[in-house]
Amino acid sequence: MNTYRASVTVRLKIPDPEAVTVGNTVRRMGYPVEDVRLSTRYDISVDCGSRQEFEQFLDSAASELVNPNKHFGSTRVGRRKRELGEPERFDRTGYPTRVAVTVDGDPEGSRVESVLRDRYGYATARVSSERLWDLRIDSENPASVAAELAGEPTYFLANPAFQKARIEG
Amino acid sequence: MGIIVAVIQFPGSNCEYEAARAARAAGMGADVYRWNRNPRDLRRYDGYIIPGGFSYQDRNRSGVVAAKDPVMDVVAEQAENGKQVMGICNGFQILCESGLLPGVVDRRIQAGLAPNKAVRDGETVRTGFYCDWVYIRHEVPGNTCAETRLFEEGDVIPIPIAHGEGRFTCSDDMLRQLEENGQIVWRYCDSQGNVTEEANPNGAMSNIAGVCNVKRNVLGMMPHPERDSSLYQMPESMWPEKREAYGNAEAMRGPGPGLKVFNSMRTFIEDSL
Repeated sequence: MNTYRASVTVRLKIPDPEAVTVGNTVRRMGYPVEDVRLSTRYDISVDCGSRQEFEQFLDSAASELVNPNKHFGSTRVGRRKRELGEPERFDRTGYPTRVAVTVDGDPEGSRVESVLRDRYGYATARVSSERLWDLRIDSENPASVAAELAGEPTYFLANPAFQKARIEG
Repeated sequence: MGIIVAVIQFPGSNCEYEAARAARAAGMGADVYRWNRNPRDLRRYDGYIIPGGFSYQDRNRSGVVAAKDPVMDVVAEQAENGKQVMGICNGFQILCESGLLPGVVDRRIQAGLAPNKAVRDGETVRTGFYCDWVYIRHEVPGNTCAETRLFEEGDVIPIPIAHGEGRFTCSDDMLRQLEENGQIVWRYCDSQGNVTEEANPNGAMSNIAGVCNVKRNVLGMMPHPERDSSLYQMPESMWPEKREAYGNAEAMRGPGPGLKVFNSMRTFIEDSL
């Protein structure tokens, strides 16, 4: 048995209403945020006897997380990325600042884990999830704007009582 | 002129009319007050109820968008002046996200209602939205918290819950302060009043179902007292008194245990006027 790892990223094809609301709210709060995109990343590990078995597992996990009719989705194993259905058109270069948010106890990860265990029989599957907020910020210092939205003084993107935020870019 | 409270309606609230009806049943006037009205008009009310529901569809996380609305600045200002504020379910989430609860340090965010995750013996047994009748125990002596002053310490009542994000969470240091200050007002328990892991429906820290602020005029609770404020709302399995009322329309319109919360609110306002 070897432990295999992969990640699955999911994003709505239509404009995400949650991202739209977040964009509207932070602009109303006075922050120069031009646009917000939201996606969810699941990091998955599982013990499998072979690479082939792992690929089967990953297909099952991806089918639980991604509906190609409404989502752009992709899996990544090491450096190898595979699109699930229609290729994603979102270009992150226009959104250089990313705030990744995790929830203490990660109930969403636990939920997916229980599905993979109970429905598909993968007892060793481990899943963690994080929400990725990609921000296009009209500022000379976008990282400091993102820091104020993720932490002091607004705590808008992450409540410090049960969420952790990490700024990338 | 009698007492009149504002029940603040955000887009996505869903218990505003039930809360207003319960407030009226307790002898108060109640207006459903839309979030986009002029916030200054809120100042004329004697108290405030922030009802349950899914304000702004719980986008980002429950309560956080509503907490940034201008009406909440007026609610905070009036709470500082000593007026009563009660947040039920989503209202509790909004009060935490706006820093009014637990309110130990100014208006800083010091607690939150995280997504549900109930654990038994180390195993996750439940995540996501959960709707059921539960029991809660009153944790402070009578006449302590404005909105529950008619309850005695140790009183146990059945009450419905319906939420996806109700796991009360704060730092260990904050929890200690809440215990020391007597700010924990309700805990989930079994029918006998035992606070157990099995009785905790959402994984809330220390089985907490409701807390008040330091001044004890702001209360937040996840269960819905407006949904058990009349006898006809009660399941007879949890409230045997209902059986005696069968066949008697007037008796069936009698009070349920949740009405005491609204009666507490009324008596406190009466005493403070």
